[in-house]
Amino acid sequence: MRTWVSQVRKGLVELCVLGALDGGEAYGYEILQRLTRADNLAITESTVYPILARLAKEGVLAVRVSPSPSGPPRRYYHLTDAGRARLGEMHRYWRHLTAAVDDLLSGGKP
Amino acid sequence: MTSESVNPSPDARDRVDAYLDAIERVLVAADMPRAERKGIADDVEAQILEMLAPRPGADATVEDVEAVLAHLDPPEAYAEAGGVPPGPPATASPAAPPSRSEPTRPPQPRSKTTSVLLAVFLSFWSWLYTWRKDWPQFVVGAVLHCVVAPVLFVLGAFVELGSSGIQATLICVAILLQLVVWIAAIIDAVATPSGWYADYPNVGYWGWDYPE
Repeated sequence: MRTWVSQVRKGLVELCVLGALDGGEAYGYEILQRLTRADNLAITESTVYPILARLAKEGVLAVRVSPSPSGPPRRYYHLTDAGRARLGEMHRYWRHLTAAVDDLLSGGKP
Repeated sequence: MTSESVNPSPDARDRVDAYLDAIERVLVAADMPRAERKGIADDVEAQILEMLAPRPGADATVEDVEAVLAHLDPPEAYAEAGGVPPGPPATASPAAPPSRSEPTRPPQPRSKTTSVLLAVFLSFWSWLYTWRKDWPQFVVGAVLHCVVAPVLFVLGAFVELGSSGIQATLICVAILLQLVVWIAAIIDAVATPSGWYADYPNVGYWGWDYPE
C-alpha cells in the first residue's frame, strides 16, 4: 500500500507544482509551502526543487531572479504559455482519469 | 513571509555550505546538468536562510542551522529526483547507488575546539577523534612518535657508536621528531576549516557503516 501511495504521489507532483503556480508566480520555498498546505500530498523540497529546475529547462516555467530580504536572491517561477498549455492538458487528463476510476470503483452505478 | 535578514556565523555558514555541497555531490552523481544543479542549490539555500530568519538573536549559530537542517530532507533524497523525469514505475530509473566517496548517512559533526584541545594535550592521538578522515595522519604520526623516535633515542643514548657527536645528534633528532609530530597535529587541527568538521562522515573511509 505504501509503495502504491508513494508512486501515485510521485506521478502527481508535476501537476501539483504547475497547479500551485496557476495563481501567480512564486519562489521555491513559497511553492513548497503552497503544496504542503494540501494534506496527504506529503511533498518535500527534494522532490519539488528538482522538478522546478527540470520544468524551467523544458521551457514550461520561466524564472525571474529577484533580491531577497532574508538572504540570497530568490528565483521566482511562473508558467509560460507552454506551461499553461501543459497544465490544461494534465488537468483535463486528471479529470477524465479520476472520473473513470470513480466510475469503475462504484461498479458503474451513477 | 519574513522580511528580516539573517547573518549566519562563519561556522553556521560552513555548515550550510557543507549541506549544499553534499546535495551537489548527489546531483552530480545523478548526472544532473549544471544549470539545474545551480537552480536547486539556490532554492535550497534560500529556503534555509528564510527558515533561519525568524530566529531571535544577531547571528544564526551552528545549532540554529542544525535545527533547520533537521527539518529538511537528507542530501541523498535528491538522488531519486536527479535527472530522472517522473514516469511509470516500471520504467523509472533506480536511484543512483552511493559511490565510495558519498556518505550514505547524514554527517556526524565533530567539534573543532575539541580537536584542537586534544592535539595540544595529546599530540597525534587527537587524530583518532577524526579517524574516519585522518587515519593516514594518525598512522604516520604513531610510527614516527612511537617507533622511529624511540629507536633513534635508544641508539643515541645506549648504543656505543664510536662518536659522542653522532649519539648526541640522534638523541636531538629523536626529540625533535616528537616535537614536530606534536606541532603538526596542532597546526592540522587549527588550520582545518570548521566545515570539514561539520561534514564529518557517518561512514567509514572505505564505505564501512558504523553504528548510529
